[in-house]
Amino acid sequence: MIIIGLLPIYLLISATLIVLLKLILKKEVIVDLIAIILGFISLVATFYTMFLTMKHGIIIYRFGGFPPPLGIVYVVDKVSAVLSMLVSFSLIIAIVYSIWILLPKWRYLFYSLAFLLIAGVIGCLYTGDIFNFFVSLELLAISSYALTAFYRGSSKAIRAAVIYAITGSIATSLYLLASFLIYASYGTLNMADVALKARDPGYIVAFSGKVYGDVALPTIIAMILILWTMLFKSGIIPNHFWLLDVYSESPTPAVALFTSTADMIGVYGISRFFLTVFGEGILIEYFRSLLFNVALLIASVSALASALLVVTQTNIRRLIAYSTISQLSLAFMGALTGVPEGISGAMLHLITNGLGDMLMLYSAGIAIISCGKDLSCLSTLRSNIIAYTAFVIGSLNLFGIFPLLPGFWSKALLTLGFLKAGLFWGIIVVLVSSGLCAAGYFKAIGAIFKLKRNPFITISTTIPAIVLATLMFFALTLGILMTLNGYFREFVIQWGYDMIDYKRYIVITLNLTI
Amino acid sequence: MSEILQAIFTIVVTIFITNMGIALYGVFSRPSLIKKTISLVLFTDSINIIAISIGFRVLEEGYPKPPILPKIPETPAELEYFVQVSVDPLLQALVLTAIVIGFAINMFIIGLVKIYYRHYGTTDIRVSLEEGKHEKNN
Repeated sequence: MIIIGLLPIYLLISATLIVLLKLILKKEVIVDLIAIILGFISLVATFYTMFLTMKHGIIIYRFGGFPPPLGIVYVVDKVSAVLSMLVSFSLIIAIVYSIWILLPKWRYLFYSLAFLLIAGVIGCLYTGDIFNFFVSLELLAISSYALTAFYRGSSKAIRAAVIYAITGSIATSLYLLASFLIYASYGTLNMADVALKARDPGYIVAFSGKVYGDVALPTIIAMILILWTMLFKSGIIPNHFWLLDVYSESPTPAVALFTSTADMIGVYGISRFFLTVFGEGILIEYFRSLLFNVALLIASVSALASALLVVTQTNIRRLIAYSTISQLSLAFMGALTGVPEGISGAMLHLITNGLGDMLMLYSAGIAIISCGKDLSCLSTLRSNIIAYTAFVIGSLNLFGIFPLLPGFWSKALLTLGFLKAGLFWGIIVVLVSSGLCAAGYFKAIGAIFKLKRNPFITISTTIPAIVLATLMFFALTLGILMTLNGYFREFVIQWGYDMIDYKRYIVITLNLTI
Repeated sequence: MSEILQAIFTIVVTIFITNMGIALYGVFSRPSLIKKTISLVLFTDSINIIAISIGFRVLEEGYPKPPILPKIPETPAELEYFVQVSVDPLLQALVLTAIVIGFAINMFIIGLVKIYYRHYGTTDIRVSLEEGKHEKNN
C-alpha cells in the first residue's frame, strides 16, 4: 500500500529532478525523455493502485504509521483510483504533445509545473484528511496559476493569471476557514472521523474524543464555504469568470491538463464532501437537501447558459471553455442527485469530458499553431485526416449521441440518475444543454470543411498525430467496453455505490469493529 | 476571570470576521493590484488568527500554557495536567503550514504583478480589462 503514499511525493521529486537535470545536462532531448519515463512510471503506479482497489476495495495508507484519526491518511476507493488513472494519462499525453508545441528552451519548466499540478490533483484524490486536501488544493492551484502565466510575454496571459491567482487564493482561503471550523467543532480533520461524528455526535473516537458543543451551525457554514470553493474550482457559472481567459491564453497542453485534471477536482471534492463525509444520514439532513436543491439550480442554470454561449463563440478555445463549463455543470448535477447511477454518470462524465476536450484541444492546437484561434482557422485541419477525425470524435463524444463513445453512456447514466431521483427537469437540462452544445460543435466541424481557407500545414504533425490516435483509441475502447461489456457497466455503476457507502468508508479507515 | 476572557475572545473573533469582510471589499473593489494583494494577505491572516484563537483554552483559574513540555513528565498525572492546561498545538501547526503556503502564493502573485506592470506600465487592473473589452468589440 506504500505505493499510494509515495506517488504524490514521487511526483514532487520528479518536478524538482527535471529542473535540476536541465540545469546540469543542458540537453533538451534527454530531459524530454526523462520526463516521459517519469510520467510513464506514474501511469504504471496509478494502474497498480487501480488493481489494488479492485482486489481489496478501499485501500488506505497511514503516514508515519499513526492510526487514524491521529495522523494523515490516504484513502483510495475505486472512484479516486479511476480518476487518478485519467490524471496520470493526461500528464503523459501533455508531456508528449508539449515536445511538439513548446519551445525547447522553456519546455522543462512546463514539465516541472505539470508534475506539480498532477501531484496536487492526486493528493486531492487520495487524501482522507480535510487539511491535507487544502494543501493539495493549494499545490494544484499555484501550479495552475504558473501554467496560465507560462507565456509571460503575452499581456493577456498575465492578466488571466493575475485574476485567476487572486480570486483562486480567496477561494482556497475560504476552504481553509471551512476546515478550521470543522476542526473547531469536531476536534478532528480526518474525513472518516468527521463523517462518523456528523451522524453520531455522541460517539467517542480514540485520540479525537467527541464533538465540541453544537455542531450544526459550524457544519452549515463549512458546507456553504466548501460548496463555493468547489463551484469556483470547476468554473460553474457564476464562478466561471477566471476560466475563459485562462483557457484562451494558456499553452494547449496546459489547457488540456486543466480540463482533464484540475477542474474536475471541484466535482470530485463536492462528491467526497457531500456524499461521503456529510452524506446521507447526517444530523442536519434538512439543510443538506436544501443546499443540494440550491446547488442543483445553480448547476442547471450554468449548464444551460454556458451551452447557449457555446454556439455564439468564434474563438476555438472559448468554445471549448464554455463547453467544459456546461459538461462540468452536468457532472455537478449528477453528483448532487445522490443516486448511485447519477454519481457514476457524473464521474464517468468527468472522464468523458477530459477525453473529449483533450481530443478537441490537441487537434485544434494544430490549427492554432498554423493559423490562429479563430474558428475559421480549423479549415487547416482538412489536410490532416487524423486531426479532423479526432476533432469530430471529440465533439461527438461530448455531444453524447453515439453509443460507441463514452459520452453517450455518461449522459445515459446521468439521465437514469435524474429519473431515479425524480428530477425530471434534470433530464430536460441534459437534453437541452447537449443540443445547444452540439450546435456549437457542429459549427466548429462545419468550419473544418468550409472551402474558405486553403488547407495548409507547414510543420510536421507526427507527434500530435500519435497523441490524437492514442486518445481516440482510448475513447473508443472505453465506449466499446461500455456498449458491449455488461460487467464493465456494472463496474462503472458500482462507483456511485462506493461513493455513498459511508459506513464502509468509516469502518475501514478508522479500523472499527462495528 | 473566565467570563472576561470569554468576552475578550468573542470581541477578538468578531473583529477578525469584520476584518475578513473589509479585506474582501479590498480585493474586489480596489483597482490597484498591490492593494488587492495586501487585502488578500489581510484576508488569509484574519483566517489564521481566528484559527489560532480556536485553539485557545479558557481555564477556571490562571492562564493556559504554551504547548511545550519543558521536561519529560515523570508521572502520568503530570502529563494529564499538562494536557488540561496547554493550548491546542495542532491548530498552530496547521496555521504554520497555511502561512508557508500563503507566503508562496503571495510571492507568486507579487511576481505576476511585477510582470503585469512591465506590460501595462501600471498596476491598475482596469487598464487591462478595458483593453480586453476593446478587443472584444473589434
